[in-house]
Amino acid sequence: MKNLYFAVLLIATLFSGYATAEVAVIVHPSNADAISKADISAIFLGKKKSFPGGSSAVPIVLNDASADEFNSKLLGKSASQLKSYWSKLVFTGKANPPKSVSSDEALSLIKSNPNMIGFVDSANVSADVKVVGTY
Amino acid sequence: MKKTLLMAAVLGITPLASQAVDYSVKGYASFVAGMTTDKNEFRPNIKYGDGAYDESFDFSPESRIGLQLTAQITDKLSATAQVVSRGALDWEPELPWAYLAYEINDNLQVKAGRLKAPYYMFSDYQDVGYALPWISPPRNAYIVPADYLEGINFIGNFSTGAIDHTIEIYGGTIDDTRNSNTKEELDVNVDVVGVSWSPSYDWLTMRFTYNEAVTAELHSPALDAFNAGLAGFEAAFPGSVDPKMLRRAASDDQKSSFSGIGLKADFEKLFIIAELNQLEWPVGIFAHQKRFYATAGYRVSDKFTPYVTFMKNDDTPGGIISTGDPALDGGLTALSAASDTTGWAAGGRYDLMPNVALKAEYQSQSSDLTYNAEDVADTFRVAVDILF
Repeated sequence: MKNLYFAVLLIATLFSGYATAEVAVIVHPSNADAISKADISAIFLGKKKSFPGGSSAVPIVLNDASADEFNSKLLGKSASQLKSYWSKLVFTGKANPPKSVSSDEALSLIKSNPNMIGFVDSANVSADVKVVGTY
Repeated sequence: MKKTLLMAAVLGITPLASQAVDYSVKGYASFVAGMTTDKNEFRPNIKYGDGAYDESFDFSPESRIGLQLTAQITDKLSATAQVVSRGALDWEPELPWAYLAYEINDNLQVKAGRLKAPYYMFSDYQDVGYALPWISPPRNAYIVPADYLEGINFIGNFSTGAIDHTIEIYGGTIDDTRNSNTKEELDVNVDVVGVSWSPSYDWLTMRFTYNEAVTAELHSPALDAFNAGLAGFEAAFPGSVDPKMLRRAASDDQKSSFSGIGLKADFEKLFIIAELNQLEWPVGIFAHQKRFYATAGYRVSDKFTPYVTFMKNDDTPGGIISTGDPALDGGLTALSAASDTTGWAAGGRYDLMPNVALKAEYQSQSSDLTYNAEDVADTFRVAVDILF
C-alpha cells in the first residue's frame, strides 16, 4: 500500500513537471531596465544587489510549486542544492536568502515596490506588474 | 576576561536598538556515527577534543548541533552569535562565531569579533554538514588546530568581465587550548594575518590563500620535551642541530606560514573539488607539511550524489640534525623521510528531504609511519545532516 502511494506520488511529481506552466519573472511597471537571465540568477543568488540600471534590487521568492520550476530553470539548482547554497552563506554571515511569500503576496508587493523582483506562474500574472521574461 | 568583554560587546549592543531589530534564529545539526574496521583509531578532527573512532560504533566524535542568532540592527549593521555543542567536547556549548557585521557598501563587508579561522576552502562552514558533499572535509588536509580567531575580517566582491572575485583579508589572535595529535593539551597563542582570493567563472571557482603567524607560541608536553631534547642533543653533540632550530626552541617562537590552492569545478552532473595546502615552519622535523586531496562526485539524480576522494600527505623536514653517529643519523632521517601518507575514500549523499541529507563513507589511509597509527585507520561512517 505504501509502495503504491509512493508510486502515485512519483508519477504525479513527474507529470506535474511537464504540466506546470512557465514562470514569469516580474517587476514594478516603472522598472525600465533590460534584465537578462544572468542578471535574474545573480540577483536571486545574492551575488548582485542592484538592477542593471543601478537601483537596488530586492528579490522575493514563492513558497509554492513554481519555486522549483524557477530554481531549476533560472538558477540551475535543485531544492537541496539551493538550501545547501544558502546555508553556506547564512551560517558564515555573508548573505540571507530572499523572503518567501505566496503568489498573491508577491503580486501585491511588487506592484507597490519599484525595487522588488519576483516570479509567479505565468498564468497568474496581473496587469499591474511588468513581466521581464518568461521561462 | 578578554572573551567576556567581547561577548558583552557583541551581545550587549542589541538591546540598545531593540525597537526596530529583526531577529532570526537558524540551526543545523549533524549526527555522525562510525567505527574503524582495523585495529587502529581514527581521529576525525584534531580541533575538537580527543574524540576518536575505534572498533565499536560510536556516535560522539563528530556529532554536533549549532544554533545561530542574528539581530539585524539597521539595514547595514547586524550582530550574530553561533553556539555549537559537540559530542567530542561532552556537548559543552562553544561560541565559535560572535561578531558585528557592517555592510560598507554592496560590495564590501567588515566583520569584527570572534570569527572562524578561514584557513581552508571549507573552514567557514565546516560544521554545517548539510552544506558539504562529504560527512567532513578530508581529514588529512584539515590539520591546523585553530577553530576561531578574535579579530577583524574584510570581504570584498567585484567582477572583471565574466569573472566574479571575492577577496578576504583578515587578522586576529588565536588563543585557545586544543588537544594535539598526541592527545595532550596544546596551548595555541598565535597572531595571524591572511588574505585569500577566490575568482569564479561559471563552472569554475578557485581559491588562493596565504597567511602568516606573525607571533606564535605553541606548548604541549611533547613539544616542550622535544625542544628541551634538542638543547640536550646539542650539548651532547655540539654542532649537530641546526642553529635556527635551536634558536626557535629557546625563544619560544613557532612562527609559521600557511598557503593553499583550492578548486571547485562543477559540470552540472560531475563535480571536482581539490585542495593543496602547505603548512610551513622555518625549521623542524616536519617543517613542510604538504597536504592534498581531490574529490570527484557525480549527481546521479537530484537526490543521490556518490563520490570518491584521493588523499596524499607529503611531509618533509626543514632543519638538518647530524650527530656524526651513522646509526643515530640513519634513524633521524628515517623518521623524517618516511612521512608519506596516501588514502582514498568512497561515499555518497542522499537528499532525503529538502532539509535532511543522509551520508555514508568508507575511507582507508596507509602510511610508512608506524608510530602515528591513528591517522591510518580504515573507517566507516554514516551521518544525518539537518537544517532547521
